[in-house]
Amino acid sequence: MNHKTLTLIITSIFIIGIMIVITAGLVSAEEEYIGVISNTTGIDISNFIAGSTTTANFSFDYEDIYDADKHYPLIFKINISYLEDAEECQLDDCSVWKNDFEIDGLLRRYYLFGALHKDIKLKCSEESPLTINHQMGSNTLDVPEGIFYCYNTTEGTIETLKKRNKIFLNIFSNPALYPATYKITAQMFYANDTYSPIVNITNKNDFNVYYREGNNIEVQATINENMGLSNKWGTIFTPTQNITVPFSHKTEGIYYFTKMLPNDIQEGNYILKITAEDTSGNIGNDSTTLKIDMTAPVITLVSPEDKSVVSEIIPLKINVTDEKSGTNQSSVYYRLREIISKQICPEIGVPLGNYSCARTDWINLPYNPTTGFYEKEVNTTELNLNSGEYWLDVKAKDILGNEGFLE
Amino acid sequence: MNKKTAIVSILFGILLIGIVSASFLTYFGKITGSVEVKAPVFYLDGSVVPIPPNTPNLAYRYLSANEVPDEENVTYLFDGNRLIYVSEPLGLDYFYDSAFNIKIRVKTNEEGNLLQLRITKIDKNMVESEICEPVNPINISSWYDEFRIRETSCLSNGEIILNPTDRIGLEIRGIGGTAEYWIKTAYESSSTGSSRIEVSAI
Repeated sequence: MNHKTLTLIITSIFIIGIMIVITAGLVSAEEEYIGVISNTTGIDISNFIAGSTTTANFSFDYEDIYDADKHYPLIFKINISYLEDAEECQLDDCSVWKNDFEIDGLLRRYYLFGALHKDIKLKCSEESPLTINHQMGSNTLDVPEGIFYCYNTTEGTIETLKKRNKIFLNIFSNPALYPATYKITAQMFYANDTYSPIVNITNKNDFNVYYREGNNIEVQATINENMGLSNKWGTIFTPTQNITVPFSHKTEGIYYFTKMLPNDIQEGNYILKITAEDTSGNIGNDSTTLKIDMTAPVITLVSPEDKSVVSEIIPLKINVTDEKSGTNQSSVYYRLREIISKQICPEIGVPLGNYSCARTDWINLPYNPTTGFYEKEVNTTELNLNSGEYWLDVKAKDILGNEGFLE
Repeated sequence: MNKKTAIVSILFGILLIGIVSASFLTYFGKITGSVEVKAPVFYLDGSVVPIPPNTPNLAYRYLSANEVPDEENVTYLFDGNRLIYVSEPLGLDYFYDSAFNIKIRVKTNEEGNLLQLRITKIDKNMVESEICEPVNPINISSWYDEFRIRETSCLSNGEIILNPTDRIGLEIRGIGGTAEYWIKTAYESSSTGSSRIEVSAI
């Protein structure tokens, strides 16, 4: 056999192996087995007559090495089928159908080296589909003919199954069960956790206001999860990027997520989502809206009118509006700069050329809640301003610090 | 190691992991056992079945599934009458193709008296339908005046279709001049000595 042929054969076997793995993965998607470690002596069951009840018992001798949460509900899958090797049987007669058997059972937990025991009753069902609701979630199983699931969702947890514990089953068959030898198989597995963590953002009111770049946001959330979290994080979803809001710390049951908003964040309303993933991969989340305001206030001159002439007192009245975050009412300032030869006195320094000019500092313009304007009777004498032509500057900020100027 | 050998080695390694993983998932956590299920036995029980209203005025006795009656009982029957043993409603809609081996502990007043038996299904209104009837009646000849097990059998004609309320019945009818019969329905609580119908699959 040359190398090429050998490679071809092994590649084929490899593909079959992969298919086996995939198949096994699919099979195990609903049923995750836990360990049977030792002394699996089989199921002790007595022969019986159709129409009567027999008892069966078995033990998985569960060793406490599996790293599973103790609160997982145990489920025993009982499969009864015709033992094909035992004797000849017409297939239609020997197939196990629904209602051929009824099963009930109990899990016997021993104490004090077997001197005492406690029985935990198991519910056994062949109903299909079968929904098992338990404290970790809800599992819906397809139950084929001949399959029973036995469980106790409140007491029958991994925690209750220890070494030497036994499962006892009462198996009743209807009188019309075909006389033959049947195989009974017991499998032990636990139900998957299907409950998602419950995330609740507790400080949503903090996001009724607007934020801008450089602001530090803090999200506070409660996360309820029975099985333990594997991860938790926040995300701001913007059209151009998803910004992670990392978990910071947990204090008194509150999870804190903090982030300084990046400089390149754009104005808009974005979903801010807090997500938690449990150890079984279930994901829960809660969200709020993060509002970004990058727009400065709009400043308009109410009085005096542009190019108007006043005498000593200037009735200065300014309207400042900011639709989003709102105007910082103490941030409105005005300034007067003399105009000489059509040149406005510079903001700083001295004018170029051989002349001098007057200018005031930035002077706060108070808010008049009655009129809703920022207004003041400006006394030009007190400001040491001579008669002449002046340029009026007004500036204002919103509460985020976005600054605007009177154009 | 050349390139082909390296590729083959890697593929073989992955294959080995695949097979190990697959078997782990498939077989971990499973134990098995086997159990032999025998066909049911219906024991004749001498206790009287209350006659439902609007049903034929016959003597009904119980036919107990798989349980030997606790007490011996002798039921008297003379010619011209029928005695019917009926089970509880079976709750079934099907019974496999069966052989009915009927064993009755009975005595009579004259040698050679005949006893005709018949397996029936009986609906909720106590209306009977025949499942099978032995070809020949039981001829009580030797030790006719002692309670002895007399045996006969018949075969159903294919699968037996039932309603869940249907019962299995055994009709016993004397055929002969002035014959009298005594049927003992339990014998020392013995499963092999008591009057019974043994069912087996064909």
